[in-house]
Amino acid sequence: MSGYLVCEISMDKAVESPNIQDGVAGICFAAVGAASIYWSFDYTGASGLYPRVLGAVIVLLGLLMVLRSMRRAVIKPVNDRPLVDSPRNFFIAITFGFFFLLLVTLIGFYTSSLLVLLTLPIALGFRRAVPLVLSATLFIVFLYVLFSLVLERPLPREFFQI
Amino acid sequence: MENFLTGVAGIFAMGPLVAMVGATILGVVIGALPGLNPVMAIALLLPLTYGMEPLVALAMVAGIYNGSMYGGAIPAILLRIPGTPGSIATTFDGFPMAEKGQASKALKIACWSSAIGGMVSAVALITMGPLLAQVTLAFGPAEYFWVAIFGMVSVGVMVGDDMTKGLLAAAFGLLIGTVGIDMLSGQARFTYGEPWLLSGFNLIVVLVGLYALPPVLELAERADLKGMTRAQLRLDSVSLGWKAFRDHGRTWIRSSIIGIGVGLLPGAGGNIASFLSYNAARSASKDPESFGKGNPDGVAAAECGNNADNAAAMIPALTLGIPGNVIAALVLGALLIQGIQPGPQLYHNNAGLVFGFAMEMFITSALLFFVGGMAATRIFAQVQRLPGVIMVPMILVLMSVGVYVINGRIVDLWIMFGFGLLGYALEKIKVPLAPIVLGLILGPLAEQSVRRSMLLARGDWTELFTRPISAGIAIATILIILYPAIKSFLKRRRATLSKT
Repeated sequence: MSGYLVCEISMDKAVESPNIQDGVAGICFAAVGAASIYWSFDYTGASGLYPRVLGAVIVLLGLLMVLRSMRRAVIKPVNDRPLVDSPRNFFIAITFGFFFLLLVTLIGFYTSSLLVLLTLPIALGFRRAVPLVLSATLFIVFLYVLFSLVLERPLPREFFQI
Repeated sequence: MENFLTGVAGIFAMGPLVAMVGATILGVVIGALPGLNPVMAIALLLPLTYGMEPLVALAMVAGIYNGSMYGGAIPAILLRIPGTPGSIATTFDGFPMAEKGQASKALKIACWSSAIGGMVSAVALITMGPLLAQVTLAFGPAEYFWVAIFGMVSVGVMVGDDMTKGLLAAAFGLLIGTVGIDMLSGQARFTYGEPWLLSGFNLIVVLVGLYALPPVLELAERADLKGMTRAQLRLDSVSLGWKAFRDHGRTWIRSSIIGIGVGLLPGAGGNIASFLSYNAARSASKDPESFGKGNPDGVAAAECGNNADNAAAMIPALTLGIPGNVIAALVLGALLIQGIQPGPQLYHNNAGLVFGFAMEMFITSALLFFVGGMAATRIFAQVQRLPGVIMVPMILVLMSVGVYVINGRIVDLWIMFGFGLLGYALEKIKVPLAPIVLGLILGPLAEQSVRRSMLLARGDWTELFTRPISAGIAIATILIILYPAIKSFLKRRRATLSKT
């Protein structure tokens, strides 16, 4: 549901500026295309030609994106959307996600899942203990029943099972 | 006919029936939940379909797809927040109806309209799919190549508002698709000596990352701590009866046709279908001024249009291997998981399965009449009381377990995470994700087809342009690329003429 809020854009807030986000993205894409051309010279025959052609297309389109971003044009406010709306919460979510994936290998899937289910909402400002613990517990039970009992899928082992 | 009956017989078994009912209910809940959408839900579901019977797996996809497209109307009507992009037009009259105390009626109309649109669309899939499949029998490698290119180019051009970004995304998807061992020469490409890259990027891992992580991060950024209150979700019982057919019958027919037409176009999704249907209903109305102020026909048009797109979008996906929208691309992913190659041969090699899936699309749409009833809707609406911050780690965990069970590799979790961050950044700078997915799916088909075609023609490149069908698709591809320029030229010319 997120991201589809119906809003009206006021044109009087429009500003004239180059689109830096597009410019940087175009450079990144062109670099990826150039790198793929460079590496694909190691591949023989048609297996190298195809990625080279793709790389060339990406370089061209990336540069086109850069050129278009440099033209001074009227940018509506909607195009000025910051890359991250709430840097604090974004950073929290990314950090927890990173450590969750790291912990899955170290302490097991269910333990690390329970940890992230309990701590991430608190880090984002949630302070009601009962619904938090209840939802986390029910969710872990649901996962255990679905993946371990019904589907019988092997998941990373828990630290206490090793 | 025999294939159709085989397909129908296949779905009336315990597995597909339970999957259809369960997934439709789950779909409505997902559509109603803040932060979730059908694309994300199906992306999360796909890893779980490994090892399932194909008709059970596809029943779940059909149920979640149709259910969530209706479920999106619940917050659209109650909160003016569309649950799915296809529900944006539903807010125009749905929310004013809710403000006037007619929320229950609006929800009921949305439910019936979604069900009818979905059922008509499934009939179109059953009848039109085989006809198109017959045409594709004449296809050789050159035609397959152009079909793949046409699909990617049209999605690249039509999705989003910047053709350069769309085409860039498609080319990037194709490049990602080259990672791993080249099937024709055995050459390892872009693997850098890493054994986990030899098999390339798993489609489902990339899909889950691209489509599930960005909404989770946005949900975390919003940090919704409360959810909706009980008072906001109070709904009264309401009965529509046969009068609804008299009031909205014409709108349902018109919107179904529009939805099917839009579904057939690669790149045009349910949101376009619902907008076009809404505008058509307003134009045809005797009282167009009442639209946007709580006209029930506006809700009927928007919801019928967006659900009529659902099964129709599968027609090019199943017959040509060109997905009409992202969910159709996910359905192709579900077929690939089952070891079934989508494309021109699908109707000939797995006709029973295709008809079975089409019938599942029909039945799951019809199920909306029951699971979308007022009592059920009242229950589904309650999920909106769940605070968003609790859902953030839940989806994160679900994504991870879903991806891990595919190959049992931790490295897939990091690939998913990486693609998720990439998807988040690309969405913010308005680079569409659908062409990337399509490039990844159609890339191997395009490459193998063009190289086979060259081998057959002993290196003669003109083979790609001289066969009548391939030349026709090539011209259509060029026209698609030129379409924005032609449109802009005509617009300028009209403006000049009107001034003079």
